[in-house]
Amino acid sequence: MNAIGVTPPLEVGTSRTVPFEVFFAEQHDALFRALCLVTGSRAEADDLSQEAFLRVWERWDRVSRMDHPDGYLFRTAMNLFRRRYRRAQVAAKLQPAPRRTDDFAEVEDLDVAIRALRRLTPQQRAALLLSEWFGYGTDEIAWILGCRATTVRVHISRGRAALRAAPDARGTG
Amino acid sequence: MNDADILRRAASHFDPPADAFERLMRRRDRARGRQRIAAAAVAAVFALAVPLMLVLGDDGPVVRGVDEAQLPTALTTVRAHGVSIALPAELDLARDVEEHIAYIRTKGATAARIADLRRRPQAFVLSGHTVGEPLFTVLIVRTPGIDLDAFTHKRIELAMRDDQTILARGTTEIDAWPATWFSARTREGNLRLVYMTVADGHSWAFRLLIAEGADEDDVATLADAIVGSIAFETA
Repeated sequence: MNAIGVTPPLEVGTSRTVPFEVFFAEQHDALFRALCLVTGSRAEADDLSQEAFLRVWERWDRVSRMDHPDGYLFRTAMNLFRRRYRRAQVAAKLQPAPRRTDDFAEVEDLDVAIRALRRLTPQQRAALLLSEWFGYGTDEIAWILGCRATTVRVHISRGRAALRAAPDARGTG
Repeated sequence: MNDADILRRAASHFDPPADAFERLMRRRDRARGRQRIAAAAVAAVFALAVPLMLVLGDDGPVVRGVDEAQLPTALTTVRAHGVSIALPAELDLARDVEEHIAYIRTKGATAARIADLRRRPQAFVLSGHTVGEPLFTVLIVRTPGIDLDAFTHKRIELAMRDDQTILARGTTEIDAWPATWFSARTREGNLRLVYMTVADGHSWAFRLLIAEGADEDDVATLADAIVGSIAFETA
């Protein structure tokens, strides 16, 4: 457990078969919070995490035997998010008078880090979170996000830069 | 404070919902409900399509119904070469046969020839069916019983009656049972074998479309032609 009651995914679920309910209890908060930061929307994060868990549950016989079922869960969630994000972008382009919106702006603006993350793309946010918070390696993040390792490194680098550029991010908050 | 701490602190602003698992179970129930509805809709489409295709896909006069009174009493056990063979009741095809058996041929050369060919006692069953028109099934069951899961289906236009002459034809592979069902229709005055089913190289089932008015001798003659063809194919 870390400071906010989240067990990093890489420390659980490796090569062991646990009931889905246990897996859910272990992973839900981490996934939900990560998706909040990635999507910038609490409602979107909740819906995505539910859908991702549902899909994993349907395949639990197979997924539970994976080395990293947690990685599969995150990958599923990120694939769902990317699909929705693409659809939202397309829908926005089809609007006659596109309303300039940023889901992230709707997040409770309580933390300077959130403001810093807002300047990143969802992919960059996800890469940064998976690397810095969850401790995944570059190759694992590449698998989860469905991109190349070099791209992941670029995402993480830009994410770190954005965090460091935030004037209050490293303060006491 | 490092990057990870910054992210954890930012994430700590988002309290996870307390009833997440309960909502997930409800979501799963809804998803399964949708799947069941979708499956039911597909089944309904097929159920509607079957009679529609029987009517629209016909290439000859449709003969509807069969005179049940003309059919011999249904039997579930046959004897061939002194061996009793019970039709397995748990199998769909067997139930189908059991419900619509017209008569059983165990006499004469038919069963004997098959038995001689396969070196094991077998029975030869003809059965009627009443889907749209008189449909007769010829089922050959080998003594140890049959495993319908092992069946493969072949379309076969093996025998056709033309001016009282039974014509032997070759066989053609098919992919699916319904394709044969609908593709081969009876023509007035003709006897036509619709499909042949082959199980693990030892058992066979034939289904025949028989035109209205075809009598027992017609069916028997056709059956003999079929058996003769089997002998030819497997010799």
